[in-house]
Amino acid sequence: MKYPLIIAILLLFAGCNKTDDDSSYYHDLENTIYSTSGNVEFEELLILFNFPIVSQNLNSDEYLITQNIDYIKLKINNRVWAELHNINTDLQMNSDGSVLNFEYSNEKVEYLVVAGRTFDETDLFTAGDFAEALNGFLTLDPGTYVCEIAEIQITNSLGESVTAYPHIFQEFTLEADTKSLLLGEFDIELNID
Amino acid sequence: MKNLFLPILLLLALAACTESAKIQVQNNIHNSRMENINFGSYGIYSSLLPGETSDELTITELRKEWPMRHYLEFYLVANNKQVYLRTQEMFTLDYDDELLIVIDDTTVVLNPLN
Repeated sequence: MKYPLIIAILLLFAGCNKTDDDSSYYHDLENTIYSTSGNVEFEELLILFNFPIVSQNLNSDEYLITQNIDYIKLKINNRVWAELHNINTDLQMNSDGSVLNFEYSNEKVEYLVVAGRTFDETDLFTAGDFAEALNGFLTLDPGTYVCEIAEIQITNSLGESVTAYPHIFQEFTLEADTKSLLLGEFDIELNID
Repeated sequence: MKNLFLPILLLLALAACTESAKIQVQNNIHNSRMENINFGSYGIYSSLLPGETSDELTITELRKEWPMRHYLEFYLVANNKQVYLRTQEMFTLDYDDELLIVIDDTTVVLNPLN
């Protein structure tokens, strides 16, 4: 009759020993920036581009054919909205020729770019950095804005890049509960000489 | 009387095995709230405005659990946006401690995704 009592006390004190279980606390929580407003937020600008090639070696406008747009920078109301890298155009068409290692077509070639807001967390290290980023987060409420197509970069087959700074400004108006908007179609002249 | 001997003995043994400590968190991050603040699996406070200090939370655990080391985890909220963060540093809490963790603009934090 005494044995169960002794065993119970021994078990309790055995529990007082420190174990080496140092496993970190597991979490499966949200890990990017989320809205807390509950409203439908604007997310994407849709833009159609075409790239007329400007070159002394061409007599008339030809249009660039590319599988990849290296870089696009867009600003809204003078604040960076998106910096897009390595946009695969997934374009399947035959070229009418090649000039300075750029393929071209005699027909207009359009490229659709979907520009979601870019948020780069790589330079955020401290709580103050994150606080500043959250407070400076560009949120587009209904209203009128101006988008600037600030920079576009394309690389030819030899890896030589051509950069255009179009500085095209386009006004647009956001209605309530708009998630995406077609900004328009734009000619971006590329001087490849 | 004899029947009470065993439960009382067990309670005394259990009490001898448990220890307590107190923990508080202070939010000194500019223009941002800290929400859902956790120290390991212990929920410390639901929401702290800048400059605010949480109530003391008393943690009581078996002696084998001490000292405990955990990150501080929380949501940082500002401008209708939130991000989940945890401190890079682990904080150590031993029994009988009264730990005040101050999170300010210079506290190194990270989002585990990156």
